[in-house]
Amino acid sequence: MIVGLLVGYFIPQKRFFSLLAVFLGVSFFWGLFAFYISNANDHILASRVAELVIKKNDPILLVLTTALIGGISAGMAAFTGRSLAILLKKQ
Amino acid sequence: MKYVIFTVSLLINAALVYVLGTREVLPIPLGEFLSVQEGIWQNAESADHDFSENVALNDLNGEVNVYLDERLVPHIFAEDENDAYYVQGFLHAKFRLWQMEFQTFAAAGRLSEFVGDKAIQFDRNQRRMGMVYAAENALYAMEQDDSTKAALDAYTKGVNAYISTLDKADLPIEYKLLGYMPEKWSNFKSALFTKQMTYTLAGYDKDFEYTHALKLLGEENFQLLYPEIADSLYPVIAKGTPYTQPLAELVPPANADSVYFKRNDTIHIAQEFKPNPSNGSNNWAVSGSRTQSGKPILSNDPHLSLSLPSIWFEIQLHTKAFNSYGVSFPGLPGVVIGFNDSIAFGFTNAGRDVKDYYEIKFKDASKSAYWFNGEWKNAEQRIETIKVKGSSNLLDTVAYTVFGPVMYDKSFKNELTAEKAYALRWVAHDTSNILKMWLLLNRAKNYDDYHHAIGYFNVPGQNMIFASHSGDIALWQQATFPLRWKGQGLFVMPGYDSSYMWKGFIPNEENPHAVNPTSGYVSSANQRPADSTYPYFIPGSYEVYRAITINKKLDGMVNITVDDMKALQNNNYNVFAELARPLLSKYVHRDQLNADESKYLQIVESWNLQNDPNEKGVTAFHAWWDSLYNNIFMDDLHQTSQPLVRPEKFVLLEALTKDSAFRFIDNRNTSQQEDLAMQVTSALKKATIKLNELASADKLEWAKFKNTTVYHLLKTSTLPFARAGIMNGGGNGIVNATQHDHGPSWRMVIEMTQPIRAFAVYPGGQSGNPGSKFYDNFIDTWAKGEYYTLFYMHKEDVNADQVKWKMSFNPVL
Repeated sequence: MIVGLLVGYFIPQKRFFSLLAVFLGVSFFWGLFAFYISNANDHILASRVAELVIKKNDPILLVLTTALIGGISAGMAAFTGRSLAILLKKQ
Repeated sequence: MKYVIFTVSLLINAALVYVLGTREVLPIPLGEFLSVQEGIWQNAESADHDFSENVALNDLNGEVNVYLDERLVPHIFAEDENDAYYVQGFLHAKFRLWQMEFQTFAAAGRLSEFVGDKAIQFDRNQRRMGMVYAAENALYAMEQDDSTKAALDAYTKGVNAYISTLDKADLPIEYKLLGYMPEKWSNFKSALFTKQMTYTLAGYDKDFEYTHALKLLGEENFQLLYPEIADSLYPVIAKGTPYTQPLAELVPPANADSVYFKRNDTIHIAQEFKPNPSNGSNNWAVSGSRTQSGKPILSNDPHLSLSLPSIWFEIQLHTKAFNSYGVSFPGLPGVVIGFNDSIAFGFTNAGRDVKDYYEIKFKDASKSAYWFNGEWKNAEQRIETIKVKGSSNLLDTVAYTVFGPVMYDKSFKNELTAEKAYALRWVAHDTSNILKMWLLLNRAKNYDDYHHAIGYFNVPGQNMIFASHSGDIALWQQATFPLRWKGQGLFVMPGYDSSYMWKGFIPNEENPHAVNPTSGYVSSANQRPADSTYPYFIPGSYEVYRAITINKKLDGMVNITVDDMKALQNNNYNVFAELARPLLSKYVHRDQLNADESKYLQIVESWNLQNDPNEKGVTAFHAWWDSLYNNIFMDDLHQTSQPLVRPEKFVLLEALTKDSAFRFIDNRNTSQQEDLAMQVTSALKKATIKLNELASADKLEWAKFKNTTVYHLLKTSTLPFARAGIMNGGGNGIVNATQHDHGPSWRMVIEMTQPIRAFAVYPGGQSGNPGSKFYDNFIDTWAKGEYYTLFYMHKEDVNADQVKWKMSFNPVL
């Protein structure tokens, strides 16, 4: 989330694109990383945790949930960072 | 406008942190939990994970090499035995840390610290029972002895060395789930573990229930429902074995008839927590005279709650002093059940009563003094502090008397009459060094070494079985058992003076035992250790039927092989049903049955008496017999709301076999006078309703009904971490003692040839990580009744194919 905040603050672009870019970047990275780990693990843990957390024995769904959570947290932080920058800039 | 957008987005961010980062909204902080850097993804062990590594340890005396085989069993090679215990501690922590902590937190009554207030009653129960007090005494004894102190110190260092390597990402998943961090290990925690095992095996008591029952039923009916010895008893030590006369005649106090055996007042104690009465085991050893190889074969299968991670951890300890292999307890150094190059050893629970309650009269509400031997005696006040997550500390004051802690009083558990309270006298509170037994057994070379070792063990009572390469077999029921006059300890006793206290303890030499008996075998299955000729009063909780099957089978066997022993451990024969079914067949009114009822009758009568997975007969028989049991006993037992204990399985069977007009048959709530035929028929009708329901849910077959499940230690909170639907056979009273969530937690068969042939399996896996392929990989093998061949390593085997990984532990220079 900190990374998202900083990226949003320092990189100038429209607020919405800030959110979108960071969201896509982080969710893609988290999703890929989680999938890679899970695959090497033959999806044993992801199946169990998916059952526990989202009540469905679906490891890929857990990977997507992970990606989504990571993306939204970072993306929102970026939006906030950008909003702050825009706020301070126009002073 | 931009202020608004910023403020709103900041609020949304804050909301996300709140929802995903705390436990206020969701039960788990999903942001952290699913983080790729720190969350569960870090616990997802790769299928080709390389366990080889080099580890530097402080204060290690020499190099230690650990060879891991393909089942992840560590074979520890150390010169110095304390180095072996050091590394054992490290490995126990590496594979099972959370389990070790959870079990010792539970033992110490500290679950509220991370579970919250729903564990308060449990924690209070543990404290008031004196678990911490008992552990303090055990620790004192273990640290008085140089060898056990050194072993514990090394073991503790090993556990802590592993803990110090952990960062947030490495924590076992349960810590992430529950939100806490591991604590440092200590010798005290190992002591706590020994007491938790003691509670599991020697913590079951019926004193209050029996007291309630005596008041309800009167002496004669009490004896009918709760007889001391079953007719069909096949005792651990053969009938006809001569026993020495007791030291002294043990007589009750003069007032026992009025004050103890015929109480007039009432007690209202409902105990909430009890160990599982099925906790028990089988073991047997056959001598070389009966085996094909000419060498003894020892078999042992301990029965405990099936759990993941398993209570057991397989290990080998190869040192200059000894080379032992078997299962260990994460929490203690050494091998607990197993063998070395000369001998093999195993345990079954004795089931003997070593726990009594004494009624205490406090002077006042402060609990600072109690009446004893004619005066007010000061009670030691112990203040237990229970930390509660999300709440303030709870303080609980427990008074300690000459008997022990006053477990039940006004503040805990019940409505009392007047100022009465109950103190617990439990052998588990007495100081002794049970760890010494294991350190000696691991290095024992012969019968004398074994006999010397077991003398250090005071509780919980066990049938300790032995076999040696040189050809000896033996079984001793060993513990420090109280000397009791007949009837002492069945009921709650007066604690106003010393007259009801235990007179002493049975000398070890007079404990039931057999050494190289002419029968050519020794065996035990939690049955009463001896018949009525044994000169002491020995109350307990005993099983009857497994022993019958085991002894009948062994009596008839010759040229015994390891495969015969494995088959016996997996035997599904239902001897109870063999004895009970004829009663059902004889008395049922066949002409009064409808189509469904007749169908189930037919299923029961055509059943082959095997508790095999596909048999519907097992389910039908048990439904019918249980209904009969309820028909006959529930009206009588429900006359009181006070807790009672159900009469044992054998009681109804033997009573009806002897007397078809057994006085309890009639239902006292109906004006009609029921006879056995009516009750048997009615039972089948009631059972049919239940059986039809099961049939429509496709749960009539025994394995589907039983639904054997190995639960994770957090039980229903973590069902995805459990393994359910195991389709094996067995049952209560069956040699293959597998029930729904309880059964053979380890099966071991050892043939004492040279080289040793060892076979074993347990329903779990070496790794406690639900994300590892080694978490539950043994379960299928166990369920099929199969075994692994144990890799008993020697120095020349370091390059063998079975060795997959090597961990090198080096002293820090």
